[in-house]
Amino acid sequence: MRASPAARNRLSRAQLFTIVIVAVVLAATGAVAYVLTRPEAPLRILSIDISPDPAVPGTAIVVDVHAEGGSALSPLSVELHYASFFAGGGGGGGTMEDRGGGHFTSDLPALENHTEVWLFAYAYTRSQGPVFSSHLVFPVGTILRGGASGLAFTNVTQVPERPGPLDTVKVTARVDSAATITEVRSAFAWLHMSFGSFGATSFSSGGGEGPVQEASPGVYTTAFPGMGGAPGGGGFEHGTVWFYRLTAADDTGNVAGTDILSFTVA
Amino acid sequence: MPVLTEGDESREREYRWRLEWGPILAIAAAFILGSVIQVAGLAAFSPTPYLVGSILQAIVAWAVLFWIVVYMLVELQLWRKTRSPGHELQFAGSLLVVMAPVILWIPFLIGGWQGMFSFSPTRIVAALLFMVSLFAGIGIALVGHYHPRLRASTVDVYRNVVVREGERIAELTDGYSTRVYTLRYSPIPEGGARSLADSWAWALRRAGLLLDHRVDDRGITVYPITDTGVGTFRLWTTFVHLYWLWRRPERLTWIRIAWDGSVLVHISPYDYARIRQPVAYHLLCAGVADAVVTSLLAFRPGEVEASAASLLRPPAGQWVRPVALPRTSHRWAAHAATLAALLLVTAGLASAVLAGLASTGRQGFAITGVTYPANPAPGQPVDVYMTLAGADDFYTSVVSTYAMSIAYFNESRGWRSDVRRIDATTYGVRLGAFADGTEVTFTLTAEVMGFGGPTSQTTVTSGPYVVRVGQVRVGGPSGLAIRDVQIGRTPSGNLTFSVDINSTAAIDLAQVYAGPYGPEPNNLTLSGNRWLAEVPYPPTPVQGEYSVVARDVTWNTATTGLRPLEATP
Repeated sequence: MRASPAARNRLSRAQLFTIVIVAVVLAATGAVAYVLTRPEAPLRILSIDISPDPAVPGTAIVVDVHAEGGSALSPLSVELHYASFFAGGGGGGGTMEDRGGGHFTSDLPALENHTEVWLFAYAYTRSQGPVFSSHLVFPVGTILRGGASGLAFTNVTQVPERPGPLDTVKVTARVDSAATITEVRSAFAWLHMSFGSFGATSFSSGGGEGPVQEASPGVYTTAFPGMGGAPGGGGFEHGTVWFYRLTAADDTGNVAGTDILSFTVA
Repeated sequence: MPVLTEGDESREREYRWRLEWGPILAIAAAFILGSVIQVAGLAAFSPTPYLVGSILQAIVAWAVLFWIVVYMLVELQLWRKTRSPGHELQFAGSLLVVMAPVILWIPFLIGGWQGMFSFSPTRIVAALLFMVSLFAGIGIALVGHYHPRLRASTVDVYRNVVVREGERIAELTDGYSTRVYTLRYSPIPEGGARSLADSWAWALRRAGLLLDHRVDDRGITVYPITDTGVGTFRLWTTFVHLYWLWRRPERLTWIRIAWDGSVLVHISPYDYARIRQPVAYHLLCAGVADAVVTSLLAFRPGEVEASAASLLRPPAGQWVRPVALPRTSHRWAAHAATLAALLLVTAGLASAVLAGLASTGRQGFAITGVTYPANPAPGQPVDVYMTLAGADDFYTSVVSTYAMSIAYFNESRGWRSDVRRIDATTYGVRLGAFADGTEVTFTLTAEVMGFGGPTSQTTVTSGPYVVRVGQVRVGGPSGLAIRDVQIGRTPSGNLTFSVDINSTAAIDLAQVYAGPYGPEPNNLTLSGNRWLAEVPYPPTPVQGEYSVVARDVTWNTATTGLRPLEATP
């Protein structure tokens, strides 16, 4: 009895099939192991720009952030936060659109003349972040700064300087002007991020703005967090990063603003 | 002597395409179609296609799982009947494939999302065993299915002796009948030959060619292996076959060889229908009987191959095809695979159950570990910390956390404070700094939502807790006591309090803390020998708590503590 060529072929096909299956499983396992264990590139924000620059009243502002880092399994995400002052008002932000090549963009609504904008971005992945961009403060059209009234913040203090989770941060600012001060306002943003198993990212953030009360002549105070706090008690968790800024205007149209101030909850 | 022709090979290719590759490609096509629709929905930001694609994928996935479960039951039955290592391997493999997702789901079913995604050692072991079980199961089942010696593939099961004999009869007409067909051969000798027949049937069962056999004083009945339809998703056929295997074997194809030489043949309608050409029933029965009797007569212990050849014979041709049957080593390997599968399943289920039981999601939400200074110095901040057990960063949403407090004796107010989140499970609140002699009672509340959305929202409360700032005198010699608190309602809904407060000293302070939005201070006034107050309240059912507090001129103090607010109309 002699085996036919066809029978021999059938045996070979079965063996070949087994080898292919084993090879595919091994290759897939290796590929998955490589992808899972490959170190993630460090996170960096290389630049943040607006277009048009300078901003034009009535024209939408495109914010472009150039960032790098992350991996296929832990992709880079970039969020934008902005606030506007004086003629304009309000603020917002959200996830920036990935345009490829590490560029992320968002459109700000068209703002009217004499508005000042404060914006910044932050990047994160499933295991890194947040990394903050530099803060941009720019006018839309023209704003009057350094006018004859001499409006200026002469002293801004924050107590405590390194707050704990149960502290209330009190900010006191002295505002001087030869004219009548019409408003002093504050704008703030906070962010907390934590990383869990299987790439889960917990992310909480908040922001807002409002008038600052005059505690005594020329002295204005505000507190963080304000009444109500954030849902679920967020906002002052260990490691939460806060940014805030105070602005003032007087009846001559002169405006002034503080630098971007910051603290991290100990 | 079995031979193989080009026509036989092409027929086998056709069978393999129709019975194996066709169904696999159909499933893959449905799954890919679902993915394409899903991706198209995502790309177009359109939820409807995404939903349709997801539903299609889910239906295919559940249908495949259901099919594998049925497949496992069929292979278990075939293994129990035949003891063939091919079917044993397919049963072991499909058992692993079926149990793999169960290992994955058990931690979720027992411990919720935290059990599913925690990094506990038992969860890691369960996840590892899930992966190993899945891939090992697929591999073991494929070996059992395709190994050329095991004869347990869909094609082998489909193409039993009936189909093969049918394929040999090219020019006959279609003439199926349910009647039993009878043939007569020479009588089979008494004694050893009959026990040899039993051995023959057992050998061919283990080879995967016979499904069952029965020996009695008058003859032997054998049931050829038969296709159950599970491979081609003919589930009705499958269930019918499982029922017949279990309760009605006489409806299957069977051949009874009596010792007197007569042979009875019954061919099941399913086997007959699988012959894809017209065939006269009496000639088919004759061919089947001839093949089975030839197999019996060719049987020699230790030489099963020659006996099996007549059941596998293809149409006449020129090439002799060797019959490869399972060896003892294959049987041991199949037993080892089954044992390994059972160990994997047992270990996987055990680790999955342990992971589920150890999940933080199982204990539910609770406020635990409340710490606070019970007797702080005047002016010292009262910081309260608590743990929100059962909550975490990722699978629970804390809607709100707050403290309800009342301060009395040396201060007089009730207020609500937001409790701040300090880390994933720790929360805290600074109630404030209080004057000497003040007593503060507070409760802590958390409203938590699980992964199930608003329907899973739970409110948990802890307390009351009492803080005495500096010196608060309790149980002094004046014997100050609060008794017999009576609560009523006016027609407008307001609450009325009537309290008996006794002391040998004059009463300096008497208040009740109650209100529709939390306890607020209300002074009690003496009327006769009782202290009375009317607390504004809307005409709605009362809820919440109250507390009556009193102090006399010796600065002795007493309270009822926080009590549930229940009013008698």
